[in-house]
Amino acid sequence: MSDAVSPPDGDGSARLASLTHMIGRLSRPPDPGSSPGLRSLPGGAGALLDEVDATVMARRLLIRNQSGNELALEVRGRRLLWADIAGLPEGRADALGAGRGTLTYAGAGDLEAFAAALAAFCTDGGMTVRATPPVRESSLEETGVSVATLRHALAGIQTQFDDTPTLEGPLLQVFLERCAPLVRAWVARPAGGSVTGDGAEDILPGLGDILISAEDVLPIAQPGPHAIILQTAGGDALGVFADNDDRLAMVLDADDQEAVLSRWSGCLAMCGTGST
Amino acid sequence: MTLVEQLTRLHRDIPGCRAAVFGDMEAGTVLRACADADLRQEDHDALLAEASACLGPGAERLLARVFGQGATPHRLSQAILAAPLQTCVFLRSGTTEGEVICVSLDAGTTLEGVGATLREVARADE
Repeated sequence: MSDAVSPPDGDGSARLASLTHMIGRLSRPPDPGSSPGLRSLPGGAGALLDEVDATVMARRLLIRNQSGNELALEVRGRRLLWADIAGLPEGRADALGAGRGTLTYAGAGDLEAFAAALAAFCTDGGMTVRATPPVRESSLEETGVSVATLRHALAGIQTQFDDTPTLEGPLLQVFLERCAPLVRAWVARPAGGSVTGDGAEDILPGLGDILISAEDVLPIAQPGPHAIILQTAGGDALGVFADNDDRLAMVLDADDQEAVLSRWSGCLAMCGTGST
Repeated sequence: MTLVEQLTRLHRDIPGCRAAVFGDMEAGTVLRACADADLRQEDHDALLAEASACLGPGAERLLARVFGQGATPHRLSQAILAAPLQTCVFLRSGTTEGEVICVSLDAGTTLEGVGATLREVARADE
């Protein structure tokens, strides 16, 4: 018997890449600022299938995307047994039980519908995943669908999502353009760039000051985009936004803060940064 | 309705809510909490520490630098922190200085109505 290790073939390469990903994930420290039990996943259905591929013992994966939609998968032995996903076409939804069902006997058409819904779910940018014990009682006869089959089904429909809207420009710049009508004054400092601002002149100098010192006080210096809105008893609000080393500070009416945060979430969803 | 019942209601009724915590920022002490089973005391402590950073004297000094030092200090009533994996809302509560209600929500959860619900609880605590 030879001791030589043959280079992996096509499927072997995919498995090797998956194992490398799993080892890398296990050795990574927890995400800063994450809450226990929650892990972040990069955008894209591939990352989700890697999660299925890494599952041997039965468990339920609860995945939430940037839009707040949830997906539940029951997985065992690196095979998907059951899914609860919104957005399946109506006819296909019936086949899988109104968006949920046992995939064991799913035909090719059902798999295509499921893959399309899965890809649409994952186009929203980063996701979070939480693993819990399985809820369903699956019989040993259920074989589910292998990851390889799911990857194949996904490959056929991925191109439909290539035109997902994306940010045209730095996150904070696009965000500022979108919420400008709600802002009384703003000051921005792109990483390595100069400070710019506009709005009420009596508060611009102060806004410029705190742009530098805010991260000494507020928890915004961690990785990933962060937003903080402080509201005074008098109805004013101060927003501080960070994306890596880019900074933006603004003053707005407290009544507008939810609208501003909604636009922030919208921008994050478009840039797929795995934030809020 | 008791405070524990109020926190239970927040945790149960706000979509995506993982924890509702009542604490004293000045003492750095969590007084009551209602949260998902996988969250521990350290997580509640961390949530209270973030509330202290966002509503404490340092943050109020930031406000004073923006709006100027008026006759009365700029009192912060509420803060929202949107981090990559969670969104937190902190609201000063009660008549005792430093008391705060904190809720931690899954990232991406809509905040519509959350502030109003928290203010209702805070008023009931006064």
